[in-house]
Amino acid sequence: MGNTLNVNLPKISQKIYQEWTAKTRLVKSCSNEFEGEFDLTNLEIDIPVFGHLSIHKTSIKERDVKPAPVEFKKGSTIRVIIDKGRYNHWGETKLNELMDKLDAEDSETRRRLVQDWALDAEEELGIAVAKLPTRRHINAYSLLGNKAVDKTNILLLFDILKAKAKAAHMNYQEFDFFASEKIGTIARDAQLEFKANPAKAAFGDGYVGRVNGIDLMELEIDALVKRNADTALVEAEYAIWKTRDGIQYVVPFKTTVSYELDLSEVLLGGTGYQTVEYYDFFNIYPERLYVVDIKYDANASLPTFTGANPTANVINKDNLKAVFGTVK
Amino acid sequence: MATEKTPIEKELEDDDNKFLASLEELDENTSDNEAGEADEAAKKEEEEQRRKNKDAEEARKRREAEAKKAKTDDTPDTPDEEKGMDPREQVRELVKKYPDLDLRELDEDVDFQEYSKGKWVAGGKSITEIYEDYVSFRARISKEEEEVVKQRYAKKSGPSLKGSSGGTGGTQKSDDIFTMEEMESLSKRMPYMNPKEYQSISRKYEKSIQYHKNKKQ
Repeated sequence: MGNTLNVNLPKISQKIYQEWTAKTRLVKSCSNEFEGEFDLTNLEIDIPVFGHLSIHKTSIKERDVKPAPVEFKKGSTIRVIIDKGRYNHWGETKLNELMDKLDAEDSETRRRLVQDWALDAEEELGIAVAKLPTRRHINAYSLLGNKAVDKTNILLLFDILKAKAKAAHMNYQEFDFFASEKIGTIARDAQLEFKANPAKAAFGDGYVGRVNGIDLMELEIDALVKRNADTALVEAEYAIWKTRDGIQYVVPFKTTVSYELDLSEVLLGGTGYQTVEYYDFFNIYPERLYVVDIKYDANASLPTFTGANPTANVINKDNLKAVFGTVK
Repeated sequence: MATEKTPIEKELEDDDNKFLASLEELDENTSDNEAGEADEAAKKEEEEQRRKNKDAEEARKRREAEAKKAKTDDTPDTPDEEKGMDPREQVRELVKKYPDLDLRELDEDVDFQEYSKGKWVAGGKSITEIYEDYVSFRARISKEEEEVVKQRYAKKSGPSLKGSSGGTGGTQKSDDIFTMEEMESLSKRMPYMNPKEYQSISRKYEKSIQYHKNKKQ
């Protein structure tokens, strides 16, 4: 006869995953699909690659309509290497007590974990995007003629974003614009009309509205903004212009595992528990993800993530990698 | 209908026999007496004998009254049986009403034992009423459906678990619940599930955990 405690363990990990992703804005906006089973030995998984359907053409005069192979919208899959993990040790050595703490509907322990993981994941992903090479940046400051974004040129900024997508033969309506609260303030100052997109509004927190055909999402990643030393208002930021599949954020393995505790760690030793997630994020379509460098004060400088300590302005992130995963 | 005599009844019969024998003896003595001293002595003897007989008669009556009282106190079941309160009859009635009920499971349940303590008495509630009250009490306390509580005492191979036609007993269908074996296999697969896959089973899985947990308690 099995044990209900043991079958409850992986369920709790799934629950934690669902709860922390729901609290995010950037991570939640990414594609999270993967196929097959995670290869724990080689740390590999297949993620889908969505390609265009082929258009078969022929000359009507020659009446040469040949049967073509059946095509599915999903073109193929690509194998990626999962290289990141997050985990939490639990201070309980008895499984039933741990379960009581984690499984309850209003579990404070789980709430704290979910909050921490959501913040951490948002920040890590945001920084990884900001650190993309220069060719992936849309430098709004220079494109606007070395001018800060204000109510007089905000429409021009939106036009530039749309034009970049069109130039890459893509539909700009697939894109979302993630920026700090400042951009919304300027858009309101410019008396631009905000329209609602019910699908996006239902999508969750952070949706500001559709301005000039662009869906605006408010990000709360402080590492991506530079604030005024006195007023703390945003002076410069890295905004993100992306489609859903611009980033593929996958968590192909999540569970709670037990392990032996050493006598030196806990009196008399025992069993410890750990909630683990293996994850990574990828940018399979470079033209569907851009970083937008914006200055609201011409003299302000953008945050930096280079040098001896690339995550200097990230709190409690000793070993944060903040880089995109690799394709095999 | 011939019934075996109790010790008190036997004692009373002996007393009666002795009394009759003494009366006969007295008659014989009276006829044999002639006159003088003999008459006086005989008179005294007769008086003495009458007094003895009177005492014996009183004692007999007292014992008879006591025996009657004792018999009344010893037999309270008889009128209750007439009212249909025979425990066996009550259990039969309970099983008839709840064919899926596993009496052994119910009998071994510590909570039920505690709840029913002092309640199943002559003239009180029937076992069916006690069981029904207990189910509703437990459902109220544990915030579960009454049917879920009833399932805890259902026979393991009963018709309700096979989930076919919705009989009078339980209403839980096997389609709604994973078996423990299925749960174990799913729990091994679960860490690898993608969000959609997990979403498709999550409700049923949670429900099954609750069901198996309750069943064990």
